[in-house]
Amino acid sequence: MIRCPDCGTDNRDGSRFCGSCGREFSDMPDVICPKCGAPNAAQNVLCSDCLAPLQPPSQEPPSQEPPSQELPSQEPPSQEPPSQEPPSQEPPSQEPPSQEPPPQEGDNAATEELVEAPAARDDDAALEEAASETGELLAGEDSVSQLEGSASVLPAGEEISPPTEAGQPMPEESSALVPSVDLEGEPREPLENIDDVLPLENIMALPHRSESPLPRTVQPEHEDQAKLLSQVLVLPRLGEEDHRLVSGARAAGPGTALRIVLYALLALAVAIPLIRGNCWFGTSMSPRDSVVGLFRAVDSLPAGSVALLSFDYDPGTADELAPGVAVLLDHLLQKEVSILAFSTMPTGALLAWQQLEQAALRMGGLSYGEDYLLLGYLPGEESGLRRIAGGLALTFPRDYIERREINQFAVIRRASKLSDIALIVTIAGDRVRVQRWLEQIQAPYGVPLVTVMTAAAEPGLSPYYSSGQLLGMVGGLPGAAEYEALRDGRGPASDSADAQALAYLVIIAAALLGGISRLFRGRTSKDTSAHTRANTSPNMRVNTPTNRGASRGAEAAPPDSGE
Amino acid sequence: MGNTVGLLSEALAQLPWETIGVWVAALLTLAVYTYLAGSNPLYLLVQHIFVGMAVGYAVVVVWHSLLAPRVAQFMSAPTAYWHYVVFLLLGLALLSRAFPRISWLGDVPLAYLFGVGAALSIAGAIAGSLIPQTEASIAPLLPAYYGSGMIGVAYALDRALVSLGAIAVLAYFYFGGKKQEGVGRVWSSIVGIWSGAGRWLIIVVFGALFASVAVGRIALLIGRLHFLSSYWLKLTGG
Repeated sequence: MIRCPDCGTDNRDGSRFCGSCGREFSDMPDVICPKCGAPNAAQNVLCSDCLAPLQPPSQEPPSQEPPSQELPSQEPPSQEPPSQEPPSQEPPSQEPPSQEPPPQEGDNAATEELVEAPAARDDDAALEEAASETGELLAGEDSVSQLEGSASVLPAGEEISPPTEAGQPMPEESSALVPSVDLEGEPREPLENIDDVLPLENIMALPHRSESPLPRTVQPEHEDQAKLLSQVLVLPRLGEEDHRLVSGARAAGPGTALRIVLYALLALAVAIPLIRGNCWFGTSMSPRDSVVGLFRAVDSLPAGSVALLSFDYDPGTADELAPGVAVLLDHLLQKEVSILAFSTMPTGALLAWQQLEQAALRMGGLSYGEDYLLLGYLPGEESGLRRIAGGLALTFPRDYIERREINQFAVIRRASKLSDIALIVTIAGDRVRVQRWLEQIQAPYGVPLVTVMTAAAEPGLSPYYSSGQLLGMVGGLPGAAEYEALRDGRGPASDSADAQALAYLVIIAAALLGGISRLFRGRTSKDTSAHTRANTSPNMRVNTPTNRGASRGAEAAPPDSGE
Repeated sequence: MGNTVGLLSEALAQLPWETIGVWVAALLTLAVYTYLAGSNPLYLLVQHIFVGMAVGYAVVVVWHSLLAPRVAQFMSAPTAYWHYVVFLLLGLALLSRAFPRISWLGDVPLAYLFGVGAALSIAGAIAGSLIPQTEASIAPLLPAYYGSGMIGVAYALDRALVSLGAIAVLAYFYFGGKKQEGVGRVWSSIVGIWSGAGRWLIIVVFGALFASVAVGRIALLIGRLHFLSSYWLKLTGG
């Protein structure tokens, strides 16, 4: 990798010119390693013999030198202990090949004073003075490129200065990489060491503090990773265009109109079957084996038996599961099967109660505590499920609604332990929760298990139905409509399935039209894409994973150049 | 004072809470859909309300359904439920993670939680997933085993495809990432074709998973529109 001495851009090996500023590399003189004295090619960043960081040659074309080049500020301040001080800006041939810092003379004087001042004086005023001097010293445009050249002083994450505040103009990119001063244990940031102010934050995730301070130096073999980290942590300020893209705001134009049309079509496709109420697609559905399996499992339950229902979902998937749950509850209650309900999610207990109340209203004449009972919330994931095997009264001391001991309810007297349960139904918003039931309850205790789940969970659980571990399953709205059809009825689930099928047609039509349009646009489309890429803000390119690598070479460009 | 509170609670009880609830839910639903026009303060407000309510509700449920009954049990019979004190101390030790000087106390309950969780998960995965699924993938391929006629043939073909697919996916993971050395050209070609088929199967599965997620999102849209049309529009006379 070749680092341009003018702008600091990394160029690939073998480059003749800098890809950013056009600087020619062939006229650069050799550089002598300040550590071992070995001659190195001018393009080298590290010594080819000892891997010590090299300084770029000092003879720069005068026309490209910034005015501040003659000031002491061109010297990078050291982040290292004095013994690992990077070599100075003096011509390498004049430097002794030693790790010891040179005497405080010439350009190095200010930097050395900066590093030594806190340790020597231990004085607050000295610290403030040093900090202010640091800001002045690092204001030069080339300071960071030199900092990067001295790889061993690349700072740890906490030492990298944060991006500028919102609303402030973005300084040169070099200043974004400015590290703060290592003050040997003194606070380096305004908010450092105030963790105790917010003691409840991240209770579980708070890591141990390191007993010994982290190493301040970066080994040569870790240089690339350290640079990458610094690039990730210190992103350029987003431009207005980038903010608009990130925040989701969209510019008005033909695309917006098309999008609105698509939204409207989708809304119509969903709304018409719901309002009209006729079943178009549901009547032609042939129930799948898995749905038939669940229907048979419920239908074969004797009257007076008890089913255990686990409502393992939250409001995020309630709308998808509700039609299937309604059909299932009606089927169970019609068969005079008592229901014990609970949830392994805190918000699931309330959803269970809503469903049970509505089912009791539909069926009529049902009694809480005898025909159905809500046990509440069961924490503990795997261990919680295992606890059920120890007895329901031990797991749920009181019911969720009346707060009475559950032994007082008639349904518990019929089914107080797992072996009394005729069927377990897990109503799950994701696959993992059903798997948990299979692994913790079905496999060790052999209780029959069926599931009502989201469509997204269905592909992952189909193998469990094929293997016979699940007796049946109903997935999403289509499964609910099939279940409804098996119960010689048509209702909300079938209407919802109609709406879903129409929505699919709209999506498929839009995708086909988009593909056809893309085909016909042909070359125009390619030109547009190229134009878009060319005009994309470099700030945005830095933030996207796909072009992160490409953006590295453009980092030295002014952040606003692409806007 | 007491009369004022009583009157206030009585007045609040007479409010049409169900209607108010439907209106609030409908307006919040519409506010969420304003995101279609881009991120905006209204959408962000609803997002924050949702997260805050979910956390607050979870706290209440945990206290109401989990902690309060145990506290009542312990207070009524301390000697019978003395072990609750141990669990209480373990729970309090978790809170020590917030204080660096005593954060080591949290290691004990965390180690216990991780240990129990790992043991149950591993044992459950072996007994409930690994072994049954492996057994299920080993099935006879004779049509007569499944039935007579085309039904038996169809089932046998299905089992054959499942078995071949499982082997192909395994071949992709095992042979796909490294160049085979020291094997014949024919064998290398077979493995290459086989693992390529496994790769396509994985692509198909990922496509099905993605489509299933899209199905779920459409279902959520249907649920919201059903709510708006069945409850809110009826309230507004629509």
